[in-house]
Amino acid sequence: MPSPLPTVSRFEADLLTLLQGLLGHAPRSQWLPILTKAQPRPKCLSAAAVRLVADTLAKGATRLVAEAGWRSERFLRGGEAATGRLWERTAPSELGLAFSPLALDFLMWATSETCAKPAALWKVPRKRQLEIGDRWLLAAAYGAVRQSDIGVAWVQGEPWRNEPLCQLLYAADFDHPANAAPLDFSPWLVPAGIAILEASQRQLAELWIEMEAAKERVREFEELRAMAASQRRALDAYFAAIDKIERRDLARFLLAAARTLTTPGANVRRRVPELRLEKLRLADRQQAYRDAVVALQYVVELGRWQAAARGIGYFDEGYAAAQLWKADWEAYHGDALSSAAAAALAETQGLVAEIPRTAEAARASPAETG
Amino acid sequence: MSRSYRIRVRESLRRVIRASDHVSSQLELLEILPPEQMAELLAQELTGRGFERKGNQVVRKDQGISIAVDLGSGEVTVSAAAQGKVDLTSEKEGRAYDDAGPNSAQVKEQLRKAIQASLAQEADRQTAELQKQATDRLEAALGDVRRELDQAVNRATAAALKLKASQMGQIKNLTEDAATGSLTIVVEV
Repeated sequence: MPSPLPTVSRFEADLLTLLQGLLGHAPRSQWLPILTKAQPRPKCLSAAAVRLVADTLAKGATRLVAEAGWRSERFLRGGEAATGRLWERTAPSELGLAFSPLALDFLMWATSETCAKPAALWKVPRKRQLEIGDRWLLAAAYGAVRQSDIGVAWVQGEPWRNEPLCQLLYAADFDHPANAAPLDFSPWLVPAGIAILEASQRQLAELWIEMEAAKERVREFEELRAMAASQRRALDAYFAAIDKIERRDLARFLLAAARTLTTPGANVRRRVPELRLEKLRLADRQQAYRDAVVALQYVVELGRWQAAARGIGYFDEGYAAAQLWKADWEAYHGDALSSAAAAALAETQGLVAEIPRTAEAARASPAETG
Repeated sequence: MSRSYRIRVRESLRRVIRASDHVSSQLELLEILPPEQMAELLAQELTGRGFERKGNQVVRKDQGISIAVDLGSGEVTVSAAAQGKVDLTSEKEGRAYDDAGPNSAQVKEQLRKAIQASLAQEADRQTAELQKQATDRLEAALGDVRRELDQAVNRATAAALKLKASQMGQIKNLTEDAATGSLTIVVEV
């Protein structure tokens, strides 16, 4: 009588354990060693193993997104505000994540190679395109290994350096020059991608608070510059993308993060207490102060969206979106956050306090909010 | 039996070291009146605050901080400079197997180079320290300078508004709140 349990090889068993681990369903002690040891890679996987991988991805992805998307929240759907859990706001047919053979290729590489070697990192083969599920898997995998030697190696890897979701979630882990090529968020602007972005809002808020707090430990100016450039690269591309598709509600995470980041009395210089300023000229010091509060610069930018939302009347296009934005703004005390952010930025300015007009306007007329 | 000679070399370094740092920015004056008139009003306001007119610039030097405002372009430059003297002497000893021969000359040359390198390093350290002091001073002064320039620009703007109002008609009422900087002018046209 055949066994009801599928049989897989040792390699396939490791691959499945690794996948379970990357999705957060196995302890690190079980799957992290798999990433650090090399083993012969088979030419292909058995049909049973492929079925198990597909099943693990389907259930794992659903569970991870469900863990984040179960709360009843309000987001835009078709230009109107829709309230409910993620799967109540979105038709099930639109929530499916497509995976390509590249996901299997990545998992086979991760199982067979010593992943902490920067020289032998996984790459997307030429002329091959990642599906949204592959992208999500890469971001989830990086998130699982980022606090290990493997993460230190992967930050040099092309798939993670240019994966928009990974960059948005973990921008400060990466060092990019100020003139790095812009990120392209378009693969994420499909219903399933947007659903993930919605579900990630809380995580994004926590991670951006963590990123800004991590600057307290930075000692070198160049390191801070690289972190800030990476953060700006991620937020510039993300804000441009969600603005283009009129989904400004997807910037809610920054309002949530700003509540912590605009702590009253937090002197901008105290945000980088370890930074070696002695050898820096004043222009560089001021740049360092600006780099210490990247997120706050974008909070001030959000004030422009608030000003624009105020100008949209009942009969104008985008009224529902503007109402949702204003409701968010009010719920998070956007005026106070924007003013506090502008005040922190004013400390970083040279001679002329460049407080954005929107922030000035917000302070001048708080009663108009909402 | 060989005999070694003690070689002693003394070197000194005297140098004037200079350090400076500056930041520049643009003052933004509202175009209430023609630019020349706005610049003149700003110049008047700044000269009242101890600035000196030098051609198209107004400048002030105070406690090592120099502020220069270009009235044409509105560019303001704040700089700090510091100067100091380095007077260093160092001595090193070595051993050679001859008194005035080739080995002695070689040892002297090695010692001299070593002393010069250590003196240059110390001079660089003192220059960097002077540079830090100049930058620290500039940074400490910047907040006050910014406030003062903001006030000067606000007062020049208020003066321009009064002039403009008087050109438009007869000023009936003028209320100025120094605390908030608000200005209300009632004009009868």
